[in-house]
Amino acid sequence: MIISEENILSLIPQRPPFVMVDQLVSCDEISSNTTLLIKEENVLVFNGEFSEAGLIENIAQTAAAGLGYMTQRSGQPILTGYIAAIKNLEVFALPEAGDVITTNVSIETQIFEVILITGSIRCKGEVIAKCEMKIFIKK
Amino acid sequence: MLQNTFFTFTDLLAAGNTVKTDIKLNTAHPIFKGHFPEQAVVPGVCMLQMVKEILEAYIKKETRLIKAGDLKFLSFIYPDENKLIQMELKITMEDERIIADARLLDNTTILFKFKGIFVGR
Repeated sequence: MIISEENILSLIPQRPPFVMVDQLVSCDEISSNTTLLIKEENVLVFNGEFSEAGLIENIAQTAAAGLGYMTQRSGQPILTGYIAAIKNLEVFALPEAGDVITTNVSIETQIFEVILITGSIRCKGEVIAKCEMKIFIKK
Repeated sequence: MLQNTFFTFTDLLAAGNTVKTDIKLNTAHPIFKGHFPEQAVVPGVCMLQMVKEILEAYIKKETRLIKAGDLKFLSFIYPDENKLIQMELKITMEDERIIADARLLDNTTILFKFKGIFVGR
């Protein structure tokens, strides 16, 4: 783990109750990995399950945490990113409250303020969701 | 559910396989405190959740989203108590699959486009 739950807010612009990553496990220029414990009180948990919306936001914030870590290391301020598009989303299962999910995001290309990523989420060893995402960084 | 806490919608109007409704957002919802503190913006994923909940209200069945080929977030939505936005949802049933083609509009401006496949549960 390189950034703990106590410090994750230093990397991302989102604030409670809309924080959908706990820890940044590893990160480099290309990829980032996070974990999230699904809590019953999470605003995107419905009937004890982390929703599809929650899974997608978790991928977006895993990208944000990775980008935040790299910009922080270079001494730059944290920027806000917005999801511009999502493609080829597949959801195989929804995690339940009490589960821990691990998420991997890889940056495919970055052209000025537009970043294309692929993300996938695992729970109990299985891939439960994946998608491609276009993120727009507001400078 | 986000319905009745994050957003409310008017009675669903169906014509053929298309359902229309007007949506009002609740600016006091806690999500807006975190997304983002300086400027409340509707999270893109909440637009998707609104499509799902309106679909479920119409077909009177709980669903799971299994695939979405194409989602486009075309404009920021700033929550405003005094404003209604519109949803148009086209539903096609194909065996077990519920194919949804939806968009959110501010009158004639398209804010969000969604194409996805749900299954009942």
